Amino acid sequence: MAHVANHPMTQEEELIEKLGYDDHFHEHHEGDRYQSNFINTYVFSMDHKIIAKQFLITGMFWALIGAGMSLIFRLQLGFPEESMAWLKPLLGKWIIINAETGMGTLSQDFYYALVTMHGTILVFFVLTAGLSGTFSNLLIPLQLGARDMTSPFLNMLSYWFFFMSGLIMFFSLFVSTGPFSGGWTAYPPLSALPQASAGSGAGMTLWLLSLVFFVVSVLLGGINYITTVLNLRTKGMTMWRMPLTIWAFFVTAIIGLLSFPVLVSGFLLLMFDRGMGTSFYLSEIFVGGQALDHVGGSPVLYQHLFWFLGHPEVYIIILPAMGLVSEVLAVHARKPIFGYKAMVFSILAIAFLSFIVWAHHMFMSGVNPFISNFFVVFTLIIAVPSAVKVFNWISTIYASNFRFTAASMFAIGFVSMFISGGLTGIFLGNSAIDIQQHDTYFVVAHFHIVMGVAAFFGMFAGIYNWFPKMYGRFMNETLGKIHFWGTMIGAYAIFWPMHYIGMAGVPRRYYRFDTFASFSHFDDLNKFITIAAIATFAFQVLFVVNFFYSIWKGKKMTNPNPWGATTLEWTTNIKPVHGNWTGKIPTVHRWAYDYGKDGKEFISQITPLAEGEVSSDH
Amino acid sequence: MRITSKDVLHNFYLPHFRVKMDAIPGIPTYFVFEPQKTNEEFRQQLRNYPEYQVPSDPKDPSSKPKWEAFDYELACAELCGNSHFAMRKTVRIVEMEEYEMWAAQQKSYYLSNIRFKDEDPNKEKLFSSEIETRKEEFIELLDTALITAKKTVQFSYVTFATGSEKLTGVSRYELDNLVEAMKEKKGLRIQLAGHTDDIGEDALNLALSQKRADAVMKYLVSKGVDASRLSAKGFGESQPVAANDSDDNRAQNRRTEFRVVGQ
Amino acid sequence: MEGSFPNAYGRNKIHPQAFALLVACASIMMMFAAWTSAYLVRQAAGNWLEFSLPQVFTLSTVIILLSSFTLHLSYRAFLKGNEQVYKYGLVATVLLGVAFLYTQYQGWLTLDGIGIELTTNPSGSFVYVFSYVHAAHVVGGIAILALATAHAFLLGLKVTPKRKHRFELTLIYWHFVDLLWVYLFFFLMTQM
Repeated sequence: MAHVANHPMTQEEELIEKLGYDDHFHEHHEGDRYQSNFINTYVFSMDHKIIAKQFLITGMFWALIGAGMSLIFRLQLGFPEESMAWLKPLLGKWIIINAETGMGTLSQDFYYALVTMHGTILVFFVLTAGLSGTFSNLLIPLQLGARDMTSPFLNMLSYWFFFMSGLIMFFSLFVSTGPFSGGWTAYPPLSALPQASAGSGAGMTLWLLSLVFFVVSVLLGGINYITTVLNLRTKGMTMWRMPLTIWAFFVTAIIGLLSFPVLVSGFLLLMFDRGMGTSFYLSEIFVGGQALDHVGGSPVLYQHLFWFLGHPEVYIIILPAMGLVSEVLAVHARKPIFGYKAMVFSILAIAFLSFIVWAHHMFMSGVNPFISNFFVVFTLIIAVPSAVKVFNWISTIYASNFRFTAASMFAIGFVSMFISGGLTGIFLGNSAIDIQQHDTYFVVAHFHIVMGVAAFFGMFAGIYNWFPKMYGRFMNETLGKIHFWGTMIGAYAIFWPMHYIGMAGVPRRYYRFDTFASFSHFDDLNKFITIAAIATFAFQVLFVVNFFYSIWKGKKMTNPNPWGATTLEWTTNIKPVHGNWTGKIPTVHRWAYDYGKDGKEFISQITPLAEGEVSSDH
Repeated sequence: MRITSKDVLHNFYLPHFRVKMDAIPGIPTYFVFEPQKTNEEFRQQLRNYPEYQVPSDPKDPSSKPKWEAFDYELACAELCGNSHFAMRKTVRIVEMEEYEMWAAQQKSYYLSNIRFKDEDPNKEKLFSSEIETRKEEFIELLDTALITAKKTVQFSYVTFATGSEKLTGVSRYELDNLVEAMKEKKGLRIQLAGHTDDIGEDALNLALSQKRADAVMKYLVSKGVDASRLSAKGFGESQPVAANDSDDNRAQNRRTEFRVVGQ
Repeated sequence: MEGSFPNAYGRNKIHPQAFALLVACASIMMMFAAWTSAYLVRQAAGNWLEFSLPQVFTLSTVIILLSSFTLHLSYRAFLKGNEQVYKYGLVATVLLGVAFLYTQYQGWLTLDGIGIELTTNPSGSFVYVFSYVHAAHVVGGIAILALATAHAFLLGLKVTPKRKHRFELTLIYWHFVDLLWVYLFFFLMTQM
């Protein structure tokens, strides 16, 4: 900060400059009365680091369930003529056994319930809460030099709302009519009429309740993230000195706060339609030949409200992954991130554009083709900031002395997935091509690669990189690398062929394809995809084993800064206390990416500028 | 192509034509496209490929070869419930002439199923095209009657509310036709006649038929026909045109007609 | 509050929790913005029953504006040490808040009286949903105000940073629900 030198420092300021900022934390928190017993420490904890771990482990639990569900419906799609009777002990009445042949088939209701739950769980519970919840909580205070979040209490509530939301969703799996089965987007009338399908009754009620809890969780978290970033940065940590992770989490929280309330308003109208008999989304509808009372509603209205969240939601998922990847790539390339400001501005541009493209999900919903054109243009413009980011990542690792670790390999894998998935997005963003591709496996392949697999890769990069910070131990590198290659190859093996099936026009969300002559000749490809999915899942189990093994038995961390990173989280003790720094909060003197500067491998953010050194701040 | 839905969201999807559009309850959507090949032309094209020579049903070797069994398909591409994957219909593309022949034979759903039923909001009135055809019909009836011996015309569309002499709303169109004819042919004089079936007491039926004939006469007078050219008489159940042994026959006997008594 | 960490350097003009509350208000605002946009979109699609807003809603607006004013007076008195105005300003605000809810209830009855029930037509359903959800926020606000009033009478007037901070949060929230109603009211007025 240039102005510091321009006026004489007060004595206090001089002391802060020398010793770091003293917020008298130790006076208030000697003996840490918040963590007096097990419950306060690990269950109802207000420590952002524990809350991060809670989010992470809950997210992993849901990821296993969600992915397990996908295996079951993939088995149905890949091997429709094989008996699934062996799943009877697990799924009970959802497996229908033919009395004569003994052949067990997955019930259609449950197939659609699985598809719906898979989407809901992965999008909301794993990639929103599990990813953003984990790393925003862990890194925002640590990388900014704050003792904790603005309101640790709200932060704790945020987790427990998420937990409740998960609990309700978990319950819905066991109601007799089954969980909601109308797709994760819950379009009315299927979601608005309890009699529309088996899952639209109790299953849908629980689904709605669960998601309202979830939104409350996201909002409480988001309020904290934004306030903390704007108010609790340590001395010297200007906005332009923040690591890109923080920028990404910050913008993610803003997007969440602006878009999730819109989802709630959509849901609330849906609840009125379900419970009070209003007609916001319901129009002249006949059920069993009988006309319902509802008149004059528009199902398209829900789609507008839903996708006004739904599209920003994909950036809520991908931006934190982008932030993590930027940081991991710079640390392991031992080079400053290329184009720091361009990265920040592209995050902001993506965030802005994410709010004005929602109707590209609705090209086939009967919206005016002239309005579609508007959305096509803005959708395609998103390619520009995205390409800037990809260019900068590649430039960062270009000609670097790259350190291949499990974390950095996943970061590179992210860039690869983001490019592949992003390119197909350009196809789909075009309303004319979307006529053919809409609701086919092409769409499935596109969004799984670009926001599913890519976000997971960002998450894995983050976990491998910051695991030592969380648990004071390392995860096993060899298993980590096996995990990387298995996932990288496996993910492409699953989703690459789906592009071809989709281009041939095979619609998604089909229980079986043999009804149609047009769709029934991809059996071999479907078998291949199912086998690849099972194999990829096995590698994820390997990761989970590695994760839990390493918590207790992993290699101990001896160097507090094992990756030689510049950011503040590595300046704490190996196991940071509640409050993060035992003494005073460090003061920041430079930006987060001083790698390879002036002959030094890295210079921590807390190191003051040397005599005659030119600041690399932007 | 106009698309609408009666229950939930569907998506009208013709994979062979790359046509896709949501079907939304309450909001009709549309899609314009022009198919280039009829089913028959496309089958002939497929005939050239070896993989289309195999039987269409793998279990039945005598079934038609695949190329011959080919149909354009219609699918649903928007999750619509647990049978979403099975919403299959076939589409037939034909030459324009064949289509026009077929279209000429079709009646609209409204006219064939709803028109004049209780749920028809327009059952009390006629559309202009209907007025035209009925007028022609009436003139023809009258002209034929004038050259036959009986000189009697039975109204086809004059009806009354059950058990009363109150004319229904649609009756006036046919009576207006008569009014017009009477104004054209100045010398025409007629006798209006009411008939009933055999249900109920004779005396009551006779009275009712008289009242109905009077009601028609009153209407004609109100439309400017000189009362001296008209007379009205009720016949009750005395002159059936069919045996009163079934509902259909009884309906034939309940009728209003007029006889030309002078030209 | 317990567990929150002290404001780092005194360089912030606004307390982080007050800022957090403003952010929360912004997200509530987004919810209503979504509804009012949905209202416009739905209205443009036709099959829309026209009716005029009950007169009593105008009274509601005056009442809630007045309540913001009394709360502000109370806050000023709190800072200046005028105990009477502080206490009775709060009491007046609570009473006005309850009166606001009562007029809302009257408004719903009026709507029902002219045949606009919740399910009659989306045009009416929207008005109900707007006012229901806003009323729910007002109920929360009254609960907070009641707490502040209890504080005023039990603890008397003593300006401590903690109490000042609490009062500020109450003030921000109440002004917010006030402005939110004014927004909804004028939005509906221009659309009717």
